[in-house]
Amino acid sequence: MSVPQQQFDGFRLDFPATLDDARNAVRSVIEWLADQQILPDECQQWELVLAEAANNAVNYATPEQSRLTVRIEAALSAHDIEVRITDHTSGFDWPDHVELPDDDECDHGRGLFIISSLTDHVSYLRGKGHNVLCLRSQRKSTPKPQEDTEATLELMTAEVASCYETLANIFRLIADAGNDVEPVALASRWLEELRELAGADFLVLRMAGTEAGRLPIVGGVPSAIVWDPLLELRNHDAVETLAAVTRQDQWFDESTTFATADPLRKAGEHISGLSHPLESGGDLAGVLTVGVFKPRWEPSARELNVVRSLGDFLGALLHGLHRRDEANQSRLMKRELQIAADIQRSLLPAELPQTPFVHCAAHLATVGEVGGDYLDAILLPDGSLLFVVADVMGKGVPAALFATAFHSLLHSHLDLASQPSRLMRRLNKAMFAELDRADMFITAQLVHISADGLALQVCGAGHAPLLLSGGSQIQEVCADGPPLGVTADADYQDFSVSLASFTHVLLHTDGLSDVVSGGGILSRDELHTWLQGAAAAASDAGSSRDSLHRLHRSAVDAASQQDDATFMIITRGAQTLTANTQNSLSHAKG
Amino acid sequence: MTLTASAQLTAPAELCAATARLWRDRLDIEIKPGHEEVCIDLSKTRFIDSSGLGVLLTLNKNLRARGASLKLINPSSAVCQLIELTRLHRVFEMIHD
Repeated sequence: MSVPQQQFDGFRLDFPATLDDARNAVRSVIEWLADQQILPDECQQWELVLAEAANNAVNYATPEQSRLTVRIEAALSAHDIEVRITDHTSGFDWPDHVELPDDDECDHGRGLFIISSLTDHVSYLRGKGHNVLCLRSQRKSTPKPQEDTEATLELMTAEVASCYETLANIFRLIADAGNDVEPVALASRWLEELRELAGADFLVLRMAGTEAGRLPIVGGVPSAIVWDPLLELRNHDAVETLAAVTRQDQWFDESTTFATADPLRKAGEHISGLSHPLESGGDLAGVLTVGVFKPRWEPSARELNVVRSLGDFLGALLHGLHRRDEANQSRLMKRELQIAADIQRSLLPAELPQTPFVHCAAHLATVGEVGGDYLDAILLPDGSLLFVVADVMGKGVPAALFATAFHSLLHSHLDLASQPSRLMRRLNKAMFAELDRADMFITAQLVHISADGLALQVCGAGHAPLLLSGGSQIQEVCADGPPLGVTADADYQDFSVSLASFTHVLLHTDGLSDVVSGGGILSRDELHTWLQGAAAAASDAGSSRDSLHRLHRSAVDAASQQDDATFMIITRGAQTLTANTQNSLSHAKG
Repeated sequence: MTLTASAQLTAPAELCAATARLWRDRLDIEIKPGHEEVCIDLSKTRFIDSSGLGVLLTLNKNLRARGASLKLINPSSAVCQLIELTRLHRVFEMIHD
């Protein structure tokens, strides 16, 4: 007997035209049907039908025809079983109506009746040299989904291959990221890679940034699509938002109704795909959307695996890079502030000048690393002194830079020190353009005291008034003009004061007591009372500075505010310099 | 009481075209002219086709011709279904124990 030919998508067997071979052939067909999960009852019926048909193919063959084999073929569809028997007999005309013999006891003539009765459809095709009997019946039960071993194996192989492919891509991605590539460039390159690997038409990647509730775009392909730069997580109708909020994949296709504000509308009308949330350490890292310009996307398991695995990894990597950049930025900022603070400290006089007639002490306080307050005291060649207190609007590096510029300009124009208003005008002219461009300004107070300590000239630029006291009275000198940087050709006036009846002079920034706006810590009256007391007690400059600092400190503590006051005490007279006054600049950092 | 000469035979598992000749030869040997009754045990026959039925019909016809009878004992359901399909239940006497 021939071996079944399994390359046919069904069952096929050629067998010699003998009754024994016919019987064996029928058994083989039935075994095959049983293997195909055909019910035992159906198999039993088909066994009888095929036995009758095969017997006929053998019984009606002439000896010469018997030398040729008979072919039996069986095939299954979802609903039918079909069997064909090809013989080489002379054939016969299949009757229109197949009936049982009239004589019940007749011992033959029932074969065709059995075949017709037990099948739904019979056709007999007579040909030259061969005939084909085609038998078909509906399957009695819906076939269970067959596990196609080859297909399963193929699927598993594809899955393993896909895992290796993903892994290889992850290694490439790690190597790429290790080259210190800028994150946006890295994302763009890998979105293109992903598009090819996943067989997609478009991709858009949004990553969580510093701003909560918003996902800025990191990259999108193709570049022809102009994606919305920001995804608002409040907009719950958008597919990407839904993926981000639910942390679950969101599929979309032709049946999806996109909200009017859905950013995915930018990709076109007939699109389909997947929005996949990216997580890192339990946090939402971003959303990756992959799609095609077709009404329906049916990615293979491999493509889906690549999208999810590589997407997740890319998301985690970019999230990590973002965190690293933030930390670097923070470190850089801290370092810059440190440098600015160093610059600012370098601007302070190493020691304050003291003369037999004029002594001074000062306190500078800064908030954070760098503040905008500035002070200086310069002994001029003729023995006179120039005292400067200034406040650059704002804090941090820009304020420190302007303080530096102010310091440089001041020291390069000391020839005008005896005329503070001219010096102020020069400073304003020199700095106006830069201050105006940066939308900043500087308040300042220049005080010139003659070498004998008896004449004082003061010029202010939007600064707190100068306070003078001799112990029994207080005098405020406003001598005010606009702050530097407000008007290019601002006019400033000198105000002259004879110091004969004053012993104590106080210059300060508005952090100590804003007598103009009332925003300082100490009230105007408190400050006046203190200065009058210090003058009455004939406190030297250092002791007065310490006393005022203590007063201010306690007020700061009581108000839980920051100590950002800068002030300078000038005393006149023949007081002996105390150790406290020598090099009398104190500096506090808030 | 009258004793009837009876032949008891067991049919093969498959009573079909391939086995019909052998089975017919065996019947010729086992059944004697004196047998007034022939009992064929079909309980072990799981498959029968029109050729197998033809053997039984010929036997039945021959026995009746000489006044003897054929009894089919305990036919399996597959055999019963075919006998009924071909309406031979009107011809054969079937006995179920």
